[in-house]
This record gives sequence, structure tokens and C-alpha cells, in this order.
Amino acid sequence: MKKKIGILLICLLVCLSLTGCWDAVELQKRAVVLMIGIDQNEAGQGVIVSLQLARPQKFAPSSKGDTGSDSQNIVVVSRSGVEVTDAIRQIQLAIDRKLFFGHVHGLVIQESLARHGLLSIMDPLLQSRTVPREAWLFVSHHSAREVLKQTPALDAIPSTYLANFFENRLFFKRPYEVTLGGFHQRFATPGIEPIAVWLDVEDKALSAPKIQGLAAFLGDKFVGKLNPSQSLGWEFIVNQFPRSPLTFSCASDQPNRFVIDIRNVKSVIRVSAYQMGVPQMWVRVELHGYVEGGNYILQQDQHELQVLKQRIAEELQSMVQTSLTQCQQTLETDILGTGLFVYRHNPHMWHGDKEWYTMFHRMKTSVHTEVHLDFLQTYRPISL
Amino acid sequence: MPLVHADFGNLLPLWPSSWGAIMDSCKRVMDLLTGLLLLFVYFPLIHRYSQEKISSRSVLIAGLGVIFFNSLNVLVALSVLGPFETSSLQWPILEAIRIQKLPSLFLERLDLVFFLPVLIAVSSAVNLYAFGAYHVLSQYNGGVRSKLGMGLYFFTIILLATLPDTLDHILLWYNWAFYVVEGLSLFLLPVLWWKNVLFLQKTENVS
Repeated sequence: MKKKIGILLICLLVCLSLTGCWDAVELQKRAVVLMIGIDQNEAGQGVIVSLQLARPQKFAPSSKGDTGSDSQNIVVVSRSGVEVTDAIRQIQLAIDRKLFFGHVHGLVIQESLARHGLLSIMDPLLQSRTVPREAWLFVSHHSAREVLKQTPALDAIPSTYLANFFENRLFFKRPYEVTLGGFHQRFATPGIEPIAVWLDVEDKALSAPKIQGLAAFLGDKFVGKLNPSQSLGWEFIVNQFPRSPLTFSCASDQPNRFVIDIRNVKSVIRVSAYQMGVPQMWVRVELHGYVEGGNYILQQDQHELQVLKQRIAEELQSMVQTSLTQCQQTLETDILGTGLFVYRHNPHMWHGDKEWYTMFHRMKTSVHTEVHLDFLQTYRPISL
Repeated sequence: MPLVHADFGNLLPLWPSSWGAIMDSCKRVMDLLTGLLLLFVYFPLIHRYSQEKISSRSVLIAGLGVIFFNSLNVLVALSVLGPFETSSLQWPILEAIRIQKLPSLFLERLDLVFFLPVLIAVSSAVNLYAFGAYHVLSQYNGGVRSKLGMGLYFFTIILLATLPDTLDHILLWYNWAFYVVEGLSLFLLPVLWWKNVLFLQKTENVS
């Protein structure tokens, strides 16, 4: 009998631990944060933090049948503070709902602030998990608050609009590298420097922020940007170019262009032994694709194909070389990860970041391109 | 799933440029092998359920299984996060799991499923320690006192899991006590092993 009572008591005690969602918070009591923007406080020391908050009641379709995609879907609240967590606390005290950071998709940092270093800003956010590792990291020349206030015409949720570019792999093959986690990973790893997405002025037709290239860092400090063409070169060098069409010009002095559907890009970086105290870098880019069309393409024969291959190889080489020059000479930051390549493949040559940067900008580079093209063969050529 | 984000280049260089660093880190490995004390569990168990061949094979398979799953953990953490990020993280495996995203809104809420192996591992470890504690106590004390010991063991576990706000203060004295116990255990291990061998020989001779 005693044994049975004992078992019954244990069962009852175990039931006490099955309390389910005991700490659940109703949606009506939450303020869902979609994006975080951080600006430099021009008036004094510290930062201004802006939170893009969702207004869930506005996402429901209205009686008129529209999708609810208007400026009322979100609200941007800003407060200043001595540092980020202080400013977030000020925002929390200003609104009645409890801030919920589980849906943060992106972090926008103003360029002037990024120049002083991101680690002091990011560290409290990452340590406390306020922002997830998978959040996309943006650097904007303009105020981060202004970026957050933009409401894209195409998407009811502004943060989803930006996140889709990367989740759909429209810009990068491995987009993790432009997340907060990717930034920290590159920061912690020797021989490679962090990157972020560069946001420019508003695309007025879409009423949305425009992605205009890459923001390059040295350590945690923003040092400059790669424009769209240089970013393309970077993507080719580091195997980040996704499957997508790309336009090439027929000749440097001609306005005509043709389109190649790029199916695969493979690149290899080699760093040879030091010559005269400086290593030599060798980049080989191999491109596979189909000729999609364009006014320039008149005939689909092997001769035409050779001409196109030659033209693409020249333009590819130019893009890669421009990107290399921008990283080596202008920005002097190794966002290509050539130092990491040395560490991985020739560890006896690797003596740390400090020594690497004494020669990185002087490193001789050699670019080789190889193009494999074919015509799309859905129909036989028709004589017009 | 996290291997979608993996870069196997992170595993390079395969061989260290200096073996001195490897030797230095060997000391840390001993700190991580807290399960070494479980050898005290295995010997009394082998002693008690004396089918030597089966028991030894089971121990070997279990050991290889542990090595395999831990190697898999290391592979995932290193290839996804890289060696430098991994070494800076408190819980690299959990971080590697958190990186991956499932492709639909419905499935997104099932991400907790990926924490199940961790929960199972933690509860298995607690169970194994409880099992080991009971057998050790019954081996050296037996009877009522081992049950009392088990009660104390679970009471301590619940206390440690619920009461402390931070484990820093507890770890201060726990680490000290742990090193003393482990030091003694390592010293006694060859004695116990030899005692076990003698017992098995005696059993064979009798049979």
C-alpha cells in the first residue's frame, strides 16, 4: 500500500513539471522587432538605436481586399543611449509592449559609426542573443533610421524584403558570410577580413533600400566599399557568384551587350612561395554558362562562340583585376581571404596577420580566366 | 543540416606546424574527460555480472560509439564555424545547429527537434551517472546506505539545476573537490584493474 502511495505521489510531483507555456507572452503584449538600426549620436557621445516594430493588426487583409502593404505596417522608434543596450532599454520604457527580438532579420549600421569599429556595438547584442547570428548585416551611408523607415512596395514586411535577397541566393552562393555570425567568424579567423552588405539611397520605384555592393572591414573597422562591378569581381574570386544571368559588353567601345546564363563558376587561389620577400598570388576563374541572347549575337556557330568566349574572358579578367586592386591598393584589406589560404595550405609560410599586412598590398597578382560556353539548343536555328 | 553552411577548407591544415602546441593542449583534454570516473562504474559491473567477453565487447563498442559521435560533433563545428570561431564559443554544437534554417514556415517551428539529441545526451549522462553512483555505492557500501546515497545524489542534482543564479561560485569549490577525487581515482585505477583481473582469474579457476 505504502509503495502504491509513493508511486502516486511521484507521478503527481512529475505532473507539476509539465506546466507547458508557463512563461508565454500574448502577441497583444509584445512588440515584435523586425530590424535594428544604429546611428551615431551627432549631438553627443553614444548611439541612437532605432527599432522597426511590426504592427500585426495591419498585416491582415482589409475589407477593401488589399494586401495591407502600406506605411502603417511598421513603426520605427528611436532613442539615444550611452551604448546599444542602454538605448534599447530607453525604447522599452517608452512603449507599453514587451520588446520581442525573436524575428529580427537585419542590423543596419551607419557608415560613420562603422568606421569606429563594430565590435563594441555587436558584442552586447551577440552575447545576450538580442540579435540572432543569422541576421543580415548592412552598412548604410545614410542614417540607419531612414533605411528602417522605408516600406517596400513589394513586401508587407520590410525586413523580409531585404532578407529575401539573400535567402533566395540572388547575390551570393553562400550568404551566411554577410550575417552577423559570418562577420564574427571572419573577424575571429586570421587571414580574412569581415564584410557586410552596402546599402545605398532609396530605390524610389520600389520604395525600398537598394543593395549597392559590399562594405569592407579591416578588423572590426569599416574601411570602404566595393561598388557593384568590384563586388562581382569579388564574387568570382571567392566562388560566391550564384547561378544567374549576367550581361557582358560586345566590345569595350561598343554599346551592344549580350546575356550569358552563368550555371557554374569555379575559382582557385594559389599563393606561391615568397620571391624578393613578397608572395605571388595566382587566381584562376572558370566559368560555365549558356548564351541566352542579345542583339549582338547574329549566328550560332563555333566561330561566334569563340568570339564570345574571348570577350567574356577579357571582361571577367578586368572585373577580377579591378576587385583585386580595390582590395589590395585602395582598401588594403584582405576580404578575399588570401591570408587564410596561406594559413590553410602553406602553414609554414604563415606568421600572423601583422606580418601578412606588411606585404599584402605589395603582392603580385596574376589572373587566368577560362570560359566554357554553349548555345541554348531548344530550337534549331531559323533562317529569317 | 548545418553542413549546408559547411566549408571543409576549415579543416585545413590537417597537421600542426608545431607539435608543442598539441602537447600543451593535452592537459586540457584531461579536464574535458570528466567521464573517466565512470571507469569506477564499469569495473564493479564487470565484477558483478561476470560475462567477461560480452562486457568487454560492450564497453569497447560503447567507447567507439562515443568517439564516433564526438568526432562528428567536432567535424560539424569545425567545418561550419571554423576552428577560431569554434574555440571562442561556449557551446559550438548548439550554435552550429542554430545556424541552419528550415525552408517553410510550418517546419520552422520544429527547430526544437534539433535540440532533442542534446536533451537526450544530457538526460542520458545524468541517468548514467545516477546508475554509476548507485552501483559504486552498492559495491562499496551496499543496502540502505546506497539508496540514501542515491537520494542525496538526486537532491544535489535538482538543487544545482534549480537554485543557483550563476554557477561560478559553485564551480569554484566543485572544481577543487573534483580534481582531488579524480587525482585519487587515477592513482587507484591500476590497483582496481589488477584486483579485477585477479578476481576474474579466480572465477575461471573455480569454474
